[in-house]
Amino acid sequence: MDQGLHVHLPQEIIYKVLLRIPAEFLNTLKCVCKLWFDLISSHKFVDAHVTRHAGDLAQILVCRDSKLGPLKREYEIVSIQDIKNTRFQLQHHQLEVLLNDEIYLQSSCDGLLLFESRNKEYQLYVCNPITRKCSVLPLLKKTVLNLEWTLVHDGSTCKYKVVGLSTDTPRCFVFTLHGNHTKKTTTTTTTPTCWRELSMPYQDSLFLSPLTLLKNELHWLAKFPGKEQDILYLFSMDIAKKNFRDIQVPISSRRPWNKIIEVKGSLCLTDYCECSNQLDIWTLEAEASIWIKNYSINLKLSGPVTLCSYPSSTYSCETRVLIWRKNQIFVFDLENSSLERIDIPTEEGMRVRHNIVHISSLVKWE
Amino acid sequence: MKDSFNPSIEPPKKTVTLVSSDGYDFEVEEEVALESQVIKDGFEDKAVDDREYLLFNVHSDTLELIIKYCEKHVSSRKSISAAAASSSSSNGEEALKEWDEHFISVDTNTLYDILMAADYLNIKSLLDLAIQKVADTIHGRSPEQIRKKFNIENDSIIDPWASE
Repeated sequence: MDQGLHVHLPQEIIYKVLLRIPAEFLNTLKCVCKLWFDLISSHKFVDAHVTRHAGDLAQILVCRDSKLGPLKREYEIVSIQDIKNTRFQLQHHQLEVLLNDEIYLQSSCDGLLLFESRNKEYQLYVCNPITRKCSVLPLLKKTVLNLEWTLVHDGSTCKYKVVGLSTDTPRCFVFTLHGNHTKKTTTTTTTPTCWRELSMPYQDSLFLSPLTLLKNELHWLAKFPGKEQDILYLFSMDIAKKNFRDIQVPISSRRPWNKIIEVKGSLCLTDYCECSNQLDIWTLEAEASIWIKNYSINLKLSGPVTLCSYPSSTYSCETRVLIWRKNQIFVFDLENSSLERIDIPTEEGMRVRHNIVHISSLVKWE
Repeated sequence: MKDSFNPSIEPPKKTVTLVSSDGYDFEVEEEVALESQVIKDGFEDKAVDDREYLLFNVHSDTLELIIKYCEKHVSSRKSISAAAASSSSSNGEEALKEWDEHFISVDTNTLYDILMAADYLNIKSLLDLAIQKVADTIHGRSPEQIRKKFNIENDSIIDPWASE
């Protein structure tokens, strides 16, 4: 039997060791001693930890119908752990969301989740299922239809922001997260604790993709119904400066399942044709503002699929694309054209409603 | 042509001497010693006939292990690049990983000694290997088991869910 250590581990070594432990297990390690508690709780550690783990571990939050009733939803985390880059292992555990409301998952960012209430209009919640912290956001006192919500990290201010974009009225709503919003406290910070409303320059545009964050900009695909029916645009909004830009996209707007994804840190566009099973990936050469078709692949999968980039992280050179079809996930590696299939375990009669790529972290937003 | 005449006589291997904290001399090949960033940084400043390094923080038992690790990595790198040059398939990297795994499977106190020496000599790959081994040891254990293994005093009973 191995004897215990005769001396003490230096603090900087403990720090480096703890950085390698998955977020799920760090809460247990806080009980070891005061020093470990302080190290794990520090902002510096939390930031370094999420940076380190952003690229190497993918999780997918799966929302399924529950046996409890037709309106109840069950959330589950499915981890895809990459083993020696060739095989994937599935782990899954129930997600505990301590909310007394019927909720719908909207977005995930650095381990934080954004939920929308089904009962109360425009009621949003932000929570971290690992630290079990939850914030109730102030109500948006506006009547706006078809809002697309997302949670983003503003790299310029290092703050998390909830952004809502309306498709009908060209409006944008931004809420900066900082501290506990349910308590009334006299703080000295100048960040407003209310929603900020901005107008967007795109009258009557129609969203055709979810919002994707890359390099501090939100990107989405849109078209203008009526005029220029088939022309597809890429709209981008700078999170910090709150300005907008647009560029025409080289594909038709008739295929509704195209997405903006990130490959090797560049903005890419997927063009998937269901009939031929052909997947094209276009990269935007940002400086020249031109689109280049980098990949043209036959997926050999029948039926409609949803495409998504691997957990986007500015720190990794990700070349994998996630492809979802019914209760299956495929990981397609663009480098060597390999396709790996992962089945989401489901009980009979349960249907996967939707899924969001997620990572576990100890990130705080106060 | 004059240039084509190249006698293939290898020059004698240059060596340096590493002296452990308990006074033992270890003569190693230059390229093995240069695996340590600390030795590499000071290497150019030293006179050719004075390549001796006093390692006050590394005991001879540990230094022997460190040299074994560096020698293995230098030779493996050579065979991997040779295999790549002749485009023959090799599982050199896989084999080295296995060797590393075996190398680092030591008791906690030896692991600590290797870790501290790798940190002191700044051998990045070895430091990474040792830190990962500590992390693997911790993962899945109870706080009480961790305290026992790493000689940590339980200085406070903390509720991990409490606000910081």
